[in-house]
Amino acid sequence: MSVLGFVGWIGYRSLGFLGAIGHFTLFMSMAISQTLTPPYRPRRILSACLDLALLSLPVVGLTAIFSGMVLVLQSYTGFARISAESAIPQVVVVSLTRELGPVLAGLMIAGRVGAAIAAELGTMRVSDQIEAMQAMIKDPISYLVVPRLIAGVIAMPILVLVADTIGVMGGYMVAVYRLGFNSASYLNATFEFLEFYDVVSGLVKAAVFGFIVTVVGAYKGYYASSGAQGVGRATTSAVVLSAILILVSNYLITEAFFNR
Amino acid sequence: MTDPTPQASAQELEIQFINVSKAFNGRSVLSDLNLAIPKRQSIVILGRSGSGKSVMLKHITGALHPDRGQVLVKGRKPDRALMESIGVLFQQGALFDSMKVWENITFSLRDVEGWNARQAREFAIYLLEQVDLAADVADKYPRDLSGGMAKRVALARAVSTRPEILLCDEPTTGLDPVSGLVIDTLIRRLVDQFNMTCLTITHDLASAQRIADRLVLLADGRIAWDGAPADFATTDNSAVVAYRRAVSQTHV
Ligand SMILES: Nc1ncnc2c1ncn2[C@@H]1O[C@H](COP(=O)(O)OP(=O)(O)OP(=O)(O)O)[C@@H](O)[C@H]1O
Ligand SMILES: [Mg+2]
Repeated sequence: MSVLGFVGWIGYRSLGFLGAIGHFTLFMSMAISQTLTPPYRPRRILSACLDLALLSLPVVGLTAIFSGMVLVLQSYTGFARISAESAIPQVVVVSLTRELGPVLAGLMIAGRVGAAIAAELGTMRVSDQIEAMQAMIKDPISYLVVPRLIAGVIAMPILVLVADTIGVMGGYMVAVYRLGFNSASYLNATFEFLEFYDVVSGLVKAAVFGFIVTVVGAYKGYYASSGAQGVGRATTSAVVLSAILILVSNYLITEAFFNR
Repeated sequence: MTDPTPQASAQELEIQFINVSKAFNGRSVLSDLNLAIPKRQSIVILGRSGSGKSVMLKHITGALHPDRGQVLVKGRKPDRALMESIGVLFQQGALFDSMKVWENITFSLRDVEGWNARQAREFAIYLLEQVDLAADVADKYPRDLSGGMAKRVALARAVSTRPEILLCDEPTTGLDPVSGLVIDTLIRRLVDQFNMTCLTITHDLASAQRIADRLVLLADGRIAWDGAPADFATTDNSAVVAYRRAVSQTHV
C-alpha cells in the first residue's frame, strides 16, 4: 500500500515534470517559429540589444576583470611550484575565452536580464496587459518575446568578446605590475597560443546562454500566476532555471568542442 | 422565477450564448447558460464575485472555449478576425506600462493604417478629446495618470478601432464615485455615438442603471433574472432579492 503510494507519487511527479517540459518546449517552439515569420521588428530588436548590452556591461566587465586578475594569481601559485610560470598567459586566455568569460557572463545576465524580462512580462501578465495585447490582435510572443530572444543571441557573444578582452587585460595587469612579468612577452604568449576554436567555442556558448536566459525569463514571466507574489516567484525561478540550464548546456557544448 | 426575456428574435443578434457550460477542475462555473444580445443594445451583467462574469466575457473574446454549447458573435465562433470588431476595457485598465498614452491608444492602428508617429499622436489626441482629456495627456506614461484618467485612456484605446462591440469588465471598480460617474457617462455616450453593442460587467448597481438598456443577473451559472433596469429594484425574483441583500450588506 505505502509502496504503491510511493510509486504512484513518483509517477505523478514524473508526469508533472514531463508536462512542464512539454509546456516549455511548446512555448519555445512558438517563439522560434515567430522569429522566422514576419513582421520583423528591427527597432525593437535593436533596443533590446542595447538594453541587454548596456544594462550588463558594467557588471559583466567587473566580473571579467577580477576573474582575469585572480586567475593569474592562482595559476602562479600552482605553476611556480613546477617552474611552469611561462604557461600562465596561455592558461589565462584559454580559460577565459573557452570557459569563464561565457559562463560568468551567462550567470550574470541570468540575474540581470533574465530576471528583468521575467519581472516585466510577469507584471504585464498579472495586470492583463498580455491579454489586452491579444485582444488587440497583436501576438504578444512576436511583439514581446521574439525581439529579446534575438537580442540575447546577438548581443551575448559581443558582450562576451568584450568580457574576454577585459579579463585578459585584468590578468595582464596583475602579471606585469604585481608579479613582474615582461609586458611584451606576456602579450605575445597570450596571442601566440590562442586558437580559433577557443574563441569560437566561447562565442557559441555565449549565443546559447543568451538564448537560454531570454527564453526562460520570457517563459516564466509569460505564465506568471496572479498577484505580486506570482511575479516574484517567476523572477526567482527564471534565474535559478537559467543558471542550471547554463551549467548543463555548458558541459554539453564543451564536450562537443573537446580536443578541438 | 425568470422574468420573460425581451423579445430579441426579431432583431439582429450580435452575441449569443447557447446552452453554454464551463467548468474548471470539475467545478461548474457556467451551466447551460443562454443569453442573446441584439445589435446596439447596452447590456449589463450583475453577479456576485466568482459567479463567472469574467468567464462569460472571455468566451466572447475567444480566450476561453465552452465545454458544451456554443458562443456566437455575429453568428460565428469567436476568432482573430472577429476581434477586429471588438474593443475591450479591462478591469485594471491594462494600459501598456512601457508606452506613452498616445502609443497605447494607437497600438492596434499604427501597423494597419501605416501612420507615422505624428499622425498617430494626432489621432490619439482626437480620441482623448472624446473622453474629455486634454492633449497634454498624450505624452504621459500610464504610471503618471490617476486611476480615473487611466480608465478613460483605456476606454479611448478600447474604441480606437471603432469596434462594433464594446466589452467592459468592471469599469468603475476601484474608482471614487465621481470618477465612476464620469466613466459611466462616457461609456454611455460613446456607445450611442459609435452605435456599439455594449456588454458591461459590474458590481455597482448605480453604475449599472446609468449604462444599461437591459440588466441581467448571473447566479449559479445561469441567467437568473433578465429585464429592464428600472424593474431591478422592485422585482421579487428570489435571486435578485438575495443579490440586493448581499450588496446592501457590503456597502453598510
Ligand atoms: N482560467 C481559469 N482557471 C481556473 N479557474 C478559473 C479560471 N477563470 C476563472 N476561474 C474560476 O471561475 C470562477 C468565476 O470566475 P470569474 O472571474 O468569472 O468571476 P467574476 O464573476 O468575474 O468575479 P469578480 O466579480 O470577482 O471578478 C471563479 O471561481 C474562478 O476561480
Ligand atoms: Mg471578474
